[in-house]
Amino acid sequence: MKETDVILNFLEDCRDCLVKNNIVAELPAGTWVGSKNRNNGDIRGESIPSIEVKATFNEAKKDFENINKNYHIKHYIYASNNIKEHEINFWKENKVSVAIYLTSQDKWFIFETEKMFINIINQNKIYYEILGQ
Amino acid sequence: MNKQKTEKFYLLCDSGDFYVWLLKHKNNPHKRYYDLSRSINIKTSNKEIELIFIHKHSNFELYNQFTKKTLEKTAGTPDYILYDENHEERLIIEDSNTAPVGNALLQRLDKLFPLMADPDILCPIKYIQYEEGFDVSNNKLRNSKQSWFVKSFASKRDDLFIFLKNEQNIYEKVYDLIVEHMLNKKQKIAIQTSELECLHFGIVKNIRSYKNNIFYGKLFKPNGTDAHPVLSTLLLISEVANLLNKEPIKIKCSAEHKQKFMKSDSKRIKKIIKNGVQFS
Repeated sequence: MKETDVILNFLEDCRDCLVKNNIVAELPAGTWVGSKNRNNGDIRGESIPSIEVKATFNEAKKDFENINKNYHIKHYIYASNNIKEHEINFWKENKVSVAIYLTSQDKWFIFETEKMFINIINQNKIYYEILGQ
Repeated sequence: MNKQKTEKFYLLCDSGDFYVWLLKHKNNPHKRYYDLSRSINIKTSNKEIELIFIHKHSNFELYNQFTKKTLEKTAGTPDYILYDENHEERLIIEDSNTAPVGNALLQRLDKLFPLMADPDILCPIKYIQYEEGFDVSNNKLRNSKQSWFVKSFASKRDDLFIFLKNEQNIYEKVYDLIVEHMLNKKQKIAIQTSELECLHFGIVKNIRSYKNNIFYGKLFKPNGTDAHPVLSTLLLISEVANLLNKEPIKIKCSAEHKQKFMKSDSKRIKKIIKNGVQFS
């Protein structure tokens, strides 16, 4: 699954909130060669924080660990075939909220430090939520 | 009660922006498929339509399967190509939010002009941009009508070039056109020789890097990559010259650039070479 699909799946699954939160998304397109504003995530809105979207856990981890890239980003989205403990532990240790699209379930697993994803993703598309501190 | 058969169309997209706009602004039910295509359902008074979106950055193999024959005829990737159930082209669209500054329009024509001119492409082709836009570099409001290209050609072909007022929404226009062409199969109006002559006159008069059938533009940037704007302009000139059976354009450049040009894999450059060019 590519980054485009993770973004589109997420936007479809929080469709009710798209207008309310004035959510905008930056999608891969054409021959994009410009540099991105690293303080803005791929998905952002008036009342939601910036969210960075990657295709896989490894890409999300690499992005998070690169301090030159996403300085203020504390919310990530990516896809995985199922929930993996080491991934959740990584996000817990770093106090980062994630919504993981489970390709086997067509639903989202959420780990978050405060309620955000749970409030915008349609309830019938949520597999499970962990609210961590 | 007879259930109306749902007619399927396929929209091949260079990016997901239009689909995102649809999710936000239209209420059509949507579906997603295992091959990573997605669809929305559209109901009109006499038809039920399923419009299936295939995004280039999502499933390139599927995208390529559909578009290969169409895109072989041109040098870039238009934003949207609409196909019917028989995989025939119904509509091709390029849209741009860019202010109508300088050669902004010309630089996108490498995607569209070859298709506009190709007699094997029967479906309508549309280029959409705003009529007015703010030129940040010069702090001025620009109007498309100031462009020589619009004066020489585009203004006379409102079936090909659509210039929106500021209050109009570009995606709304794209949506309306797609629905219109799903409901009715239309054919493009061929470009006439007289129109090409007028365009060629405008090219000769206004493109400073083209004099006495010699093109002087820098084909490559200092870092060695393609100078896209220059090559797009050269492509347009070579297309028009070729259609009018004029003698091949001569390119004046360094030996290094000539070698790079002749060895290039770029679709744009290959099309220019196919149109016939010589080196001066």
